[in-house]
Amino acid sequence: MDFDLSIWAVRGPYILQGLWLTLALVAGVLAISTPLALAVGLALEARSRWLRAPATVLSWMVRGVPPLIILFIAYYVLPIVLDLRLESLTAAIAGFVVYNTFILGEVVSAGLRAVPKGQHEAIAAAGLPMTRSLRRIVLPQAMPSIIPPYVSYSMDMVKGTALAGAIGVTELVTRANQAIVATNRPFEILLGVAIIYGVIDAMLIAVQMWSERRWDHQGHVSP
Amino acid sequence: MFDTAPDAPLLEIRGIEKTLGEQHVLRGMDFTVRRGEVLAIIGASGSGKSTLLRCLNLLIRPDNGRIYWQGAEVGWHQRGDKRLPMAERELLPFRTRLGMVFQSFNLFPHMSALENVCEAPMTVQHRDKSEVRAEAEALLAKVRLSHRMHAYPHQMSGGEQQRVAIARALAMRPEALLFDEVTSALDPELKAEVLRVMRELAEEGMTMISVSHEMDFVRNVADRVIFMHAGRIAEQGVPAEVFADPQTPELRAFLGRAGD
Ligand SMILES: Nc1ncnc2c1ncn2[C@@H]1O[C@H](COP(=O)(O)OP(=O)(O)OP(=O)(O)O)[C@@H](O)[C@H]1O
Ligand SMILES: [Mg+2]
Repeated sequence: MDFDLSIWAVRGPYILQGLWLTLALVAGVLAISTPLALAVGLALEARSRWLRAPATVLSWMVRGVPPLIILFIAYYVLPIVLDLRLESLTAAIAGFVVYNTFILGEVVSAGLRAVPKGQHEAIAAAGLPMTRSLRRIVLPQAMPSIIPPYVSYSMDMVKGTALAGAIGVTELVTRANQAIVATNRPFEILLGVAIIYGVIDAMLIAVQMWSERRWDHQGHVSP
Repeated sequence: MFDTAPDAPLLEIRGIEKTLGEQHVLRGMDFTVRRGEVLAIIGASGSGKSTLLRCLNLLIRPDNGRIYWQGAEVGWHQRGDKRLPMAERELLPFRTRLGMVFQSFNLFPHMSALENVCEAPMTVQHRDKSEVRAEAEALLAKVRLSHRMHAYPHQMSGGEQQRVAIARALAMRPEALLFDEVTSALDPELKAEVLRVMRELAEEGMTMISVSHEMDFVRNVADRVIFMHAGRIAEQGVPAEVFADPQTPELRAFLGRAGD
């Protein structure tokens, strides 16, 4: 068996265009689902049962559905319901955003639960208003328990973007597959793809380490 | 803000009852606290002392009974013959008048001592930043922590943390302070420095309601003691008299244990 990485000189540009799609998908989904996840996490922990109950049920439903089905719903059903055309990238972002919002929402809610009850008592006893103390006192203390699972789920999502190929987003894996079919060089191409995913993971781990240091010291936020 | 009466007691509670889970924790509590009074609350573990204290600033909402602050009812609105519970937001101004100090300190761990003290006056009372800071520094000096102003809670001893917590409660310029076994988590030598601060506050005329197992503190500092048993007031009066002549077997047993 010969092993010839020069195949990447020919097929590389086409495959790497898929990388940009993958990254656009990841960036778009994280940018949109992060604030939504915060809202869902807060709703899951809300005092009012009128917020808590629907959030809990919705989260349970969405997380129970395979992500691929959610993508199909976004791609096939959403355009009919909304009566508009959806590009496959837009549909993929919409589908992943829905799924990710609830996955990360549970992460936020677990992080909020990790803040000791005494902190909430101290906040209430001092007469501190809720929204402001959330931002200044509760969330900074929830961050250390939110960051590791948040990054870990984001890594899952990076790999999960390959599913978007099923609704016509020619992302990294889809293009790699096309290249394998065309060249019959699976080893070279898959090795390259694995390295690319490895680099993305390493970047996310770097983000995790940076943010863990920032929110470290037993909840003490570095300036 | 409240429709207060000038000569009413600072705090008055009537028939407070609370059930938590299956347990009827408070079974009808009545007492009044005058301005400048130091009231100690004692009782066996599980007798409902913490629950009572949390009812006083409505961290826990009683099932029954009334709370009057300077003669005005707090916690409920009277609408005709209906009583509607106040929204959480409406309770905030009342809570700022009653500072609270906890057994487990509950300082904000990501803020320095000074930031802990400044947080509430700055965000709730919207007072001038430099004025709040100067006052916070003075309060930390008062609890003998000038040298620890920029320390974070995890860098301080329990006694230091608890004194920061007292300074934090004072920063809101409260009219009364609630203490829930604030020295129970501390080693004996650290207890002393916290008790000293509390004694000084009492001497300055601060109104204090303190759940405490420190019998010396109760005897020497409190004007009045309430002994709770099974969610009721079993005995009350001037500490020296109550301790010298306990009327109930429960208090006798309690004092016997506390004397060990
Ligand atoms: N959230 C709750 N749900 C159910 N029961 C509770 C709850 N909080 C307290 N209790 C029960 O209510 C009773 C009174 O509790 P409380 O904390 O007021 O007692 P305490 O006098 O402060 O005791 P200690 O001296 O141990 O602090 C206890 O039996 C306790 O188990
Ligand atoms: Mg207690």
